[in-house]
Amino acid sequence: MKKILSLLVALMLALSAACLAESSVDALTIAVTKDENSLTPFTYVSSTGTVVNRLIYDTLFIADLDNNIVPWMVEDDYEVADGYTRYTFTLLEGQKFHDGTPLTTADVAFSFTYPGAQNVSSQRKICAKIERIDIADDRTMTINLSAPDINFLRDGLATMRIISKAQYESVEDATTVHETLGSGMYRLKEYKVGQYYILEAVEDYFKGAPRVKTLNMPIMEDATAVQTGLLSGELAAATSSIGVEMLDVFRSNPDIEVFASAGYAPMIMNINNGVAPLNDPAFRTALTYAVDVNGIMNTLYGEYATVGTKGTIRPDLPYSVAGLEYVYDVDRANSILDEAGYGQRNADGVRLTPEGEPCSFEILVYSGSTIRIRAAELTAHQLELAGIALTVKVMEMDTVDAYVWPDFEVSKGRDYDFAMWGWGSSISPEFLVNLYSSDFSVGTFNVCGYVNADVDAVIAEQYAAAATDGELNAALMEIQNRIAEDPGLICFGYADSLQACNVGQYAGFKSGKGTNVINVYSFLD
Amino acid sequence: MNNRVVGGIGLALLAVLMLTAVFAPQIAPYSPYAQTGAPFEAPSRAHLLGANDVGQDILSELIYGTRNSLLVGFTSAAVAMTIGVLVGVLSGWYGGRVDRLLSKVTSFFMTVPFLPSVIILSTFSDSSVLSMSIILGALSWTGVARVLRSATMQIRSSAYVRIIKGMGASDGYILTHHVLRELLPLIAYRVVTRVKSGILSESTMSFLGLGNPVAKSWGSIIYYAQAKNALLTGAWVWWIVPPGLCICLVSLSLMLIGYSIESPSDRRREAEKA
Amino acid sequence: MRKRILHYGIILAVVIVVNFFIPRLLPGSPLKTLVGEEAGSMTAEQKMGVLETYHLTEPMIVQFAYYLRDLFTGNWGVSFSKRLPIAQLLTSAAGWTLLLSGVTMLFSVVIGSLLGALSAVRRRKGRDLGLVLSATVLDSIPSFWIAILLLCVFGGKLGWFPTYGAVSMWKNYTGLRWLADVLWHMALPVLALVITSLMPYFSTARFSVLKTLAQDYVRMARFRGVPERKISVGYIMRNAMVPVFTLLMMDVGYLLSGSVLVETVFSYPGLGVLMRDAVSARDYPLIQYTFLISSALTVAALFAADVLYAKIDPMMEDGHE
Repeated sequence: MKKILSLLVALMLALSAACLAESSVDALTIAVTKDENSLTPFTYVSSTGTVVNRLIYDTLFIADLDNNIVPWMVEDDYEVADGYTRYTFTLLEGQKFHDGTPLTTADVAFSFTYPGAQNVSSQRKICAKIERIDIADDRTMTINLSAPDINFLRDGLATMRIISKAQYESVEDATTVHETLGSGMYRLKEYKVGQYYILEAVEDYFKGAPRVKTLNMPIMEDATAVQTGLLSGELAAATSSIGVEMLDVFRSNPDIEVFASAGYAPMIMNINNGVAPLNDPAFRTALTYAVDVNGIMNTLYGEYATVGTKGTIRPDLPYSVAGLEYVYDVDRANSILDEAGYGQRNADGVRLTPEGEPCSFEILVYSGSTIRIRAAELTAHQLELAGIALTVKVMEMDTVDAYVWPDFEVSKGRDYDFAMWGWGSSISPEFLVNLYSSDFSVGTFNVCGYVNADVDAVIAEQYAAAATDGELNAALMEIQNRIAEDPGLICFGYADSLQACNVGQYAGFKSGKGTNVINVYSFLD
Repeated sequence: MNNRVVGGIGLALLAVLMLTAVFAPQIAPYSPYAQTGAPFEAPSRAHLLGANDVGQDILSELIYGTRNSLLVGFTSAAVAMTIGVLVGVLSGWYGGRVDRLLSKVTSFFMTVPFLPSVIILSTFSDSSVLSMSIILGALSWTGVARVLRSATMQIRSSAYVRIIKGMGASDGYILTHHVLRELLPLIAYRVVTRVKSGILSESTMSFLGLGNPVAKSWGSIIYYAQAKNALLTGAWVWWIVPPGLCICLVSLSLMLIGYSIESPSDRRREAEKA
Repeated sequence: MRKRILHYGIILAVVIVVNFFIPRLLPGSPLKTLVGEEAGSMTAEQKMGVLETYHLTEPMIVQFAYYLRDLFTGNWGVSFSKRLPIAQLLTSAAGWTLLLSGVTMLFSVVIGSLLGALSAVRRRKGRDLGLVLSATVLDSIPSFWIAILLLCVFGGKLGWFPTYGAVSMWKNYTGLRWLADVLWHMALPVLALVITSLMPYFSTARFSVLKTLAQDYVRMARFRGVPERKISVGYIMRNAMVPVFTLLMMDVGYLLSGSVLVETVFSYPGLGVLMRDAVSARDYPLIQYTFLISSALTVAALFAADVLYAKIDPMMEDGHE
C-alpha cells in the first residue's frame, strides 16, 4: 500500500513538474567544465569550447540529431559536383552578425581563407583543401577543392565557423581578437576569465528567437561539484557527461532526465608496432585473444557503450565490416604464442622471446582518466594469464604525449610499449586512413607505427581513387579486413555520452547520435 | 591516563597495522586485483565492504593497501625527517657560515613550487610507490629544518648546555646525548604529521593527476571512491569511511606514542641534575 | 639588516633563474595549446613556424635573455592558453587567492593556537588527550574530501551555501550587499581550508606553551604569587607565539599555491587553479609568472618573518649573524 502511495505521489509530482515546465524560459544555468577563453573560433581550447562556440557562431551545414549532415545557413538545393570537388550553395536570407551587419558570401569566403594562415590546426587543414572560391553574388557561391573530398560537407562545411570579414580582415594574429562576434543564435554578453559566460538570445535570429533568453554558464571543473549542482537544481544542465554509477541517483529525481547518446570517441590501446616482440604480427594477434575487450567494456560502462571490433571503427557505421568482434580466448592466445616461439618462460612465469628477453612491458596512461586507468589495470591482470607482464604507468597527459607522439609528429618515432589512448572522433572515413597508413604524411595519427604493405596499397589504389560512395566504402571495408588479420592496436570501444538535464526547469533539451545536449536544436522551436 | 598506558596503546595499534601489512595475503578474503564481485556491489556476506567500480573486493584492497600506505607514510617521513633534522640541527648548532648556507638552501626549497617539481621529478623516476614517497619526502623537509634550527639555537644558548660544554663535552656528544634528546618530542610530533601527510598526499596527488592510483593503497581507494561519486551515490559508507578510519588509526597510534614521550620539563630537570 | 637583504636577494635571484627552467624541464611542449587538437595534421615546418613566433626554437640562453628583459620591463606578455595579458590574469586570480588565504590564515592561527594553548594548559592536569585525539582525527581526512563533503552537504543537500564561484555571477551586487555575497561564497572554501591547516598551529602552539610553562621564569612567577590567569596570558602567550609566527610565515607560500584542491572543488577563480591549468597546458609564460608571484611572496614573507623575529626575540639575532 505504502509503495503504491509513494508511486502515486511521485507520478503526480512528475506530472505537475512537466506541466510547470514552460516551453520558453528566461534563464538557465548550465555548467561549462573548462575555461574556454573568449570562445572565438581561434581562442577556444577543447571540445567543450566547440559545443558552446557553436551556439554563437553558425556553420553552413550542421550534423542533425541523427548525425546526418544537413544545410543550416544555406538553401536546401545546394550542389556537389565534379566528383566531390565543387560545392555550390546559396545563403538563406536574413542572416546577420551580432553587431547588426548583414552576413554575405564575402564573409563566408573570408571564413574559409583567413584561417589558412592562422595557428588553429583543424581550420588550417580545411583551408588547405580549397583551391578557389567563386562568389556569384551576395548569397550564392562555389567552393572548389584541389582534390575530391567526399567528406567535405562534414569535415569542412559543417565544421568551419563563419566569422565577420570586417572584424578580422586587418588582424594578423586572430588570437589577439577578444570580441566574440558571430552570427549564431546566442551572443556572448559577458565573459569573466575562470568564472563564467553569459549568453544572450538573438531575438531576430533568422531561424526564429531561441526559447531560452539567457544562458548563465559558470565554469566548474570539478565533476562532483557539477553533479551536486545538477541534483540540487542549481544547474539545469552541464557540458559534461555523468558517470554510469550516477544513473540511478539522477533517475530517481523526477525533474531530471538523463540523455544517453552514442559516442564517437574511441578508447584504444596503442601498441608500439616498432619494438620487438610487438613488431611480430603473431604476438599482436595473440594479444587480441588474451584481452577480454567485451568484459572490460561491460565492467566499465555496463550497457552504455558500443564495444569496439578488430575493424577499429564504430560497428554501426555504413561502411563497417560485420563479424570482426574480438574473441576472448586465453588458450588460443597461449597456443599462438607457443607456436610463434614464445614458449619459454622465466621463473616468474613470464614468457621469453626467442632472444631470451622476458615479455614484460609498460603501459602508459593519462592520469586523471580513471576509466582508462582501470582499463589498463584490468588488461594487465588478464595478460598475466597469457604469460605477459604489463606494468601500468600513470603519467600526466603531456608526459604521455611526449613518449607516444613526440612533437605530435608520427614521423619522429615513439618511445613506449603500450599506451591507453583515445581520439576525438572516428566519424570521418579519413580516420582509418590517418590511423593506419604508414606514409606518415597521410597516416598523421599513426602513433602505433603500424606498417602493412597491403593496407598501404588499398589506401593508395582504392581509397585515394574512389570517385563514388560505393567505391569509397569498398576501400574502407577492405582496410578493415586487412587490419583485422594483422592488428596494430586494440580498440576497446565507444562510450555513450550520458547527460543529465533538469527537464523540470526546461523541457526542450534534445539529444541525438554523437551530439551534446547543448546544441542548437535544444534551443530552437 | 598514564603516559606508559597511552604509549602502549599506540604501539599496539601500530603493531596490528604492521602485522596486517605483513600477513595481507593470509588475511584478505580475495586478491585485490581479481574481479570477484559486480561493479559497485553493496556490502554482503561475500563482500563485507562491497566491491569497487570494477568489482574488486574493497576489504581485500584495504588489507593489501596497508602495505603501500605504510610504506609511503614511513618512507616519506623518514626522508623528510633525515634531511630536516640534519639541516636544522647542524644549522642551529654551528651557526655562522654553515647556518648561512643551509638557511639559503632551506629558504630556496620553501619557495620551490610543489606541483611542477613533482611532475619533473616523477618523469625521472619509475613512478613506483617507493620513488613517489622519496619524492614526497624530498619536497617536504623544509618545515622540519626551520623549526629544529630555531629550537636547536635555543637549546645551545640555554644554561645547562653551556655548563655541559664548559665541562669539556664534545659537540658530537652534546648533540647526540642532549640536543637530540631535548628535540625528541618536537621530532616525534613532526614524524606523526609527516607519516600522516605522506599517506594523505598519495591520495591528494591522484586527485591532482600526479599520483599512481594503480598501486593498492588507502589513498587510491579514496581517490577512486571520490572519482566515482561515492558521496552522491551513498557508497561512501563502505568505500570512503573504512580507508579514512585506517589513516586515522595510523595517525592516532603515532600520536599516542608521541604524546607519551613528550615531557620536556622532566627531561630538562634530569639533565640539570646530571 | 644588510646581510639579511643580501641573503634574501640571492634567494630571489635563484628563484628567478629556476622559474625560467621549470616549464622547460617539463616533458611535452606547448604546441598542442598553441595550435589546437589537430596538431598532428600540420607539417613539421608549420609547427616550427608556430614555435618560432614565440621564440621557442631559439637557444636557451637567448630565450633566457628574452625572459629577463620581459620580467624587468614589466612586459609580461600574453598567456599561450588563455590568450590574455598575463598581468591581467594574475591580478584577478591573485586577488581572490589572497583574500581566501588571508582569511583562512587568520582563522587557522587564532583557532589553532588557542586550542593548542588550551590543550597545553590542560596537559599539566592530564586532561588534554581528548582535544589532541579529535585534532588528530580531523587532520587525517584528505583535504579534497573535506571540501567535497562540505560542498555536498552544506551546498547541495542543505542548500545553505553556494556550490560554485566567488560571487553571485548573475546578479550585480554593490557595496555592502556585494561584501556579504563574497563572504557567503567564501564560507565553505575557508572552512575546508581552515580544517585542513589547523593542525600545525595546534601542535606548535601546544608544544611551545608546554615548553614555556616548564621554564624557570614561569615557575618563578608562579612562586612569586603572580595570579595564574595573568601568567598564562601575559608571559606564556608572548613566548609561545614565536614558533607559531614562524610557522605562519612559512605557510604563506603553501597557502598561496596549495589551495588548488579547494579552488577546484568550489570553482573558485584563484591562483592555484590558474597554476595547475598553466602547467597542464605547458603555458610557459603563465607558469613562469604564476610561480614567480607565489615564490616572491614566500620570499617576502620569510624576509618579513626574519626581521620581525629579530625584534621579538633578540637572541635569534646572534644565531643569524
